[in-house]
Amino acid sequence: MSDAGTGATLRLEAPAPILGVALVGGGSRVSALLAGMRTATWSCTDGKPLGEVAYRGPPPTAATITRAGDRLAIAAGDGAVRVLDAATLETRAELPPARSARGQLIFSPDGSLLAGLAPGRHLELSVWNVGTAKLLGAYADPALEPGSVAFHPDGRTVAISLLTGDVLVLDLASWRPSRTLSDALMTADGLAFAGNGSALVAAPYDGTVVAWQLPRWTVRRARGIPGASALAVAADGWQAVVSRSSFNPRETPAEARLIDLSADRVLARASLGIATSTDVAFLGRGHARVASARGTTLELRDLGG
Amino acid sequence: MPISRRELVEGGVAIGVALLAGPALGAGGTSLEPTPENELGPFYKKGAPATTNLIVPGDPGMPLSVSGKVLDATGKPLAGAVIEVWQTDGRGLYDLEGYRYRARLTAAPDGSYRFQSLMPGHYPQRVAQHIHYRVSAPGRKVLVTQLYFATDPAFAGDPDHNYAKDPVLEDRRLIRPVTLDESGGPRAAVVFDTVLGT
Repeated sequence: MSDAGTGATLRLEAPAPILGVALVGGGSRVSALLAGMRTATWSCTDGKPLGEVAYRGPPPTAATITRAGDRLAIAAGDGAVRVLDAATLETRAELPPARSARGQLIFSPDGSLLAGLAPGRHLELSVWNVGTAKLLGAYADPALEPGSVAFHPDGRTVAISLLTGDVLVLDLASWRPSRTLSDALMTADGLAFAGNGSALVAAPYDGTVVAWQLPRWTVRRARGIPGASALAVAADGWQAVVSRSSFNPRETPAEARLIDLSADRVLARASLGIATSTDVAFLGRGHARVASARGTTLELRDLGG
Repeated sequence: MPISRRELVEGGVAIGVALLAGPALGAGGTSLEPTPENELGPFYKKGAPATTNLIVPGDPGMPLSVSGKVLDATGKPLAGAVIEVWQTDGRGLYDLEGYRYRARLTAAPDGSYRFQSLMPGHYPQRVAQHIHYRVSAPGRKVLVTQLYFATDPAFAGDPDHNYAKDPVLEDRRLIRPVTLDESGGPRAAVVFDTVLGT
């Protein structure tokens, strides 16, 4: 596959093996979780290191970072959830424990809400208000197996991708499902609402991108990347950038694509080599950034622009 | 494609009789325990084709015949039950874009089903070879489970002690005996009866 619409590669070296990467601050910075429970952050503009801190606390079972990159949430084995300052790792809030925090944590786009999924195969979701450190509510359905969670920017709705490929839309006011979207054939790690709330987009494993246009949830499909693991959606919901890391088999080069959802057209693409972790962010319409990591090496590329 | 004895063993198939007994299936009226659940995993795909032959010609791997029955807890056959199966190919890869090694079967009037495939390879992020099942029938709880193979090298010949090497494999009962049918060429055979709860 030849690269198209891709800028120069910025290559960074981490002081320890990289376990995961996240583009934060609108794609202006990249944070990495390193072996030994350390985090490091660099500027995406010039690759300058912005800080490195080590986590001291009970072994985490789940962790996540806000899109702004200013807060980390970490769950421990006993269900305790702490919100930390990402720069210093000082505790900013301690949230009421919940079993459902131990599997997966997800911040809302503005960082004001935090969702936790229980480990295991039964859907058990909890949502906290980070500012008040209060549990807002919980929803469970033992017949459903969850994949990932996305908050609507209004904070009143979450979408939960299920391993069957369905997407459950949950109203956080009533704590009841408002609808089930059955248009995707496989589950999606990549699930996100547009910044203006006009669309929900999923990147299922089968290599499609499925977009639902609100308020009628009208469905639209485009070609994505099989096995996609990361997704970002343009603010207006009409473009998406997807990436996949190397798996199935592990020798598969990682890849990223910038996609026009209205025309089912690839605007830019990049082969990322072997990568164990990737993340994507929109810098603006027609302009996205992708981070990929392997071992101690982290690479940044721009798509489009 | 000729298959050597070494390949047979490495493919997870031991020659001989069953290593383990299957579940005791009572006659109608007997109370049977529902088949243990096991996670769906991320590779389920809707819309699998209705076929009993999953083998892609030319693909490497040990031919495998899987058969069984779908029953309710009284031992009554669940005719028309839908059995969705999916697995890796012989190299341990899932087909994400298409439907290779995926099928949708329908239980016969006596609850029986059968399909031909290849012994799944070892998916790199899992320890044990397995075939995924999703079994549904009207009025019954959907069964999501996985079939494992007693001859899997991962169990080192002792699935009783080694099944927990695969953290996903929570219940020893999902490991089934494997026999070898050498009539018409080597072929592994497994029987996997499933019992649906309510």
